[in-house]
Amino acid sequence: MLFPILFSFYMSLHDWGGLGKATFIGIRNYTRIFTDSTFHTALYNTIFMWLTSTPLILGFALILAVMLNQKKVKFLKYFRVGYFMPFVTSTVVVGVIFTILLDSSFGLVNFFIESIGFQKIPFLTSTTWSKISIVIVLTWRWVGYNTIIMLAGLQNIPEDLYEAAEIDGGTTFQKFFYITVPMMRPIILFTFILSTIGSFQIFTEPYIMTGGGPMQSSLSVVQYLYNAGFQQFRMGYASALSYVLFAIIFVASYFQLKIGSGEEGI
Amino acid sequence: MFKKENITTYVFYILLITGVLISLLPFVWMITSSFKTLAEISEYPPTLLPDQIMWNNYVDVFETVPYGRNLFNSFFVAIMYTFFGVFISATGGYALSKYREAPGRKLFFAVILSTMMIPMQVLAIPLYILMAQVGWINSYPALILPFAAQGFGLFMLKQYIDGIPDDLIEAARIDGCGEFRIFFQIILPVIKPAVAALGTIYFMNNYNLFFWPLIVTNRSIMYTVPVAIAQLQGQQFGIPLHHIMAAATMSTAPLIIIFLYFQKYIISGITMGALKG
Repeated sequence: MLFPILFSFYMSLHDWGGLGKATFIGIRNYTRIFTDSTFHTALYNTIFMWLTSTPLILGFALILAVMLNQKKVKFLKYFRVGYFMPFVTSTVVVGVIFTILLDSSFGLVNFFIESIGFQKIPFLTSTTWSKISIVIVLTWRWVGYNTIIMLAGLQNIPEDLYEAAEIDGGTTFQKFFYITVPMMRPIILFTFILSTIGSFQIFTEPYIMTGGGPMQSSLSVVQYLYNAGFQQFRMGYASALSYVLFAIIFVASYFQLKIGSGEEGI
Repeated sequence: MFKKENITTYVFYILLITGVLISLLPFVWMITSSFKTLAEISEYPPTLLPDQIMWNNYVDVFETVPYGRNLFNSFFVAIMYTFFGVFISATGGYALSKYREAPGRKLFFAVILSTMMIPMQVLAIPLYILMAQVGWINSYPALILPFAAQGFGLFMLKQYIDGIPDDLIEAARIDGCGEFRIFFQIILPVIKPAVAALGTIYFMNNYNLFFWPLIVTNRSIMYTVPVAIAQLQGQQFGIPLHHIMAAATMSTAPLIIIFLYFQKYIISGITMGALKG
C-alpha cells in the first residue's frame, strides 16, 4: 500500500508519458496545476456539486429517517428496502437510466415538466443544467443510504428524552430541533464527511451522462485526472493532480477525526 | 380530533409512498425500456409499456458484444475479490486484535487506518503502471488483487474480534489447539455475522466498480459489466439504447436478488461503521 503512494509522489515530480524516460522537473507539475484553467473549472464544478448535493441528500435523509422512526409506521421493512434500492445499483447503470430519463427531447422527466405547463429543460445539453443533472442523480442515489445510517442513529436516542419533552408540552418541531438534531450531530457529521469525500471522487456520473460537457461544464476533478493520465498519458501531471485531490480529501478527513474524537460515546 | 389524526396519517403515508415511487421509478423505466424498440424509446410523449415486447433486445446484446463473458468476468472477479478481501481482513483483524505483544502493532494499525483516507484515484496511476510492467493489463489478477486489502474491512473485523474474550482462545491453546485451528474453528464461527456483512458489501462494491476496471482493461472480452455498458453508451453513432437497457437490467437483476437476500447483513454492516466512527 505504501509503495504505490510513494511512487505516485515520485512520479508527480516528473514529466512522464508512462513509458519511456521520465524527466525530473521538480514541483513544476504542481505550479502548473495552480495556473491550469481547466483544473480550475473542474474544481469549481466539483465544489458546486458537493455543496448543492450534500445538503439536499442529508436534508432529505434526515426527514425521511425521522418519518420512518415513528413507532406507528407500517411496512417499515418494505420502505427501507425501497429507499435503499438506488444505492445497490451500479453508478454506470444509474447513469445510463438517467441519460434516458433526463433526455431533452424524449425524457420522462421533461414529459412531467411539460405536462404541468413548463418548458422542457435541456438537462444534459446545456452548460447551466448539466451540473444540476448530476446533482439530481447523486441525490436520488444517496438519500436512501444516508437514511439508513440516520435511522440507526435515531434508534439510539433514548426514548425518555422525548417523553420528558412531551410532559413539558413540547411540539413536534421543538422535539425535532431541540432533541433530534443535537443528539444526531455526530451522525450528521459522519454522513457529511462521507458525502464530502464521495463528492470529490465523482467520476462515473459525468463520464456516462455528459462526458464532462458540454464545454467542460460538468467536468469533475477525477475525470480531468482520468483524461490527463489515461487519455493523454501525462502520468506525472495526473499524479500531481491526484496528490492535490488527496490533500483536499485529507483536510476533510482530518476534520472528521478531530470533531469525531471530541464526540465520543454515541 | 380523530378526523385530523386520520388526515395526517394519510398525508404521512402519501409522502412516504411518493418517495419510494421516486426511488423505484427509474428501475421500472429501465425494465420497460429494455423491451422497447430503439424507436419507441425515443418517442415523445413517452410510452409506459412497450407496444410490442422485444425479447430480441436481450438476445442481441450477446451478439453485438461478448456480454456473456462480461457477466462471467463481473461475477468471477467479485467473488474472488470478496474471498480474498474477507480472508485478509479476518486474518489481519485477528492478528491485530489478539497478538498484542507483537512489536509495532500500534504503528501498523495506524498506517492501515490512514490508508482508508487515500482515494482510489491516487493509487490508480502507480498501480496501473505496476500492472503494465508485470504484463497484467487485461488479466484477472489485475482486476482482483490490487484493492483486495482494504483498511475498512480490517478495521471492522478487528473491532468485532476485540469482543471475543481472550479466555476462549487461551482455553483452546491449553487443550493443544493449533493457531490455525483456533482461527478456523473458534474465531471464524463467532465473527460470521460480521463476515457476512463485510462479504456482501465487498461483493456489491466490486461488482459495481467502474474506475479501476475501466483503466486496467482495454479488450472487450476482459471488460466487466459496468465497463461493457459504458462502452455501449460511449459509441459515437446511434447509441443502442435498447441494448443498453437490456444489459443494464441483466446486470442489476442478480444484484437486487442478492441484496434482498442479504439486506439484513448489508444494513447492519453499513450502520456498524457509522455508529462506531
